[in-house]
Amino acid sequence: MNYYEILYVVNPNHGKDKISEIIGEVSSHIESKKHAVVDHNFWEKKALAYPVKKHKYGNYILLNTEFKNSDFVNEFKVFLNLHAEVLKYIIIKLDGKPEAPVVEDATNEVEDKKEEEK
Amino acid sequence: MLSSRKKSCYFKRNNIHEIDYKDTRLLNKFINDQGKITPRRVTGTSSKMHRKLVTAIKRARNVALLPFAAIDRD
Repeated sequence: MNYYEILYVVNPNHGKDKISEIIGEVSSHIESKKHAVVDHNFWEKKALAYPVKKHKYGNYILLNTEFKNSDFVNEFKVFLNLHAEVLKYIIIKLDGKPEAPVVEDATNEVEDKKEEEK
Repeated sequence: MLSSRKKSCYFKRNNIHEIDYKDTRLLNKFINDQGKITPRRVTGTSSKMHRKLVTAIKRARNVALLPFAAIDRD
């Protein structure tokens, strides 16, 4: 029982429909192997820091999963490598069950300004 | 100008214990224009948090959230 956080980038030219189709495809692959998907959502369309396969933008999708055994990680890497739409991905093992996403508050920015004044 | 006052750890001051690689706004403070990680002697980050920071920056680079090297050719 291991929790993993997976962030992957898909082709920026896709609309919402195609993205939800890809999300469904990835989820069904995990579930077909009897592993659990905790959370799977479209994160943001962002400018890439460097071009990837000649794309300047990317659609980021965040996936939280629970794999029963760690062997599935390698299998899942192969799946992502072979997936034509996935440009980049990162798989990170979490210490425990992922918490609900924390909403960013504006207080940080105020603190930052104070720092600069110092 | 060099100040004689000792620098303190940004994360300790703001009570941050874990650094998320997706938080690029935070990580951007600790890289320079070239995309290099600012050394600890400049930022004053504690060694414990600096190790976590380095991991986070390297993870972010892997998924193109941060640059490996940013060169301005303009």
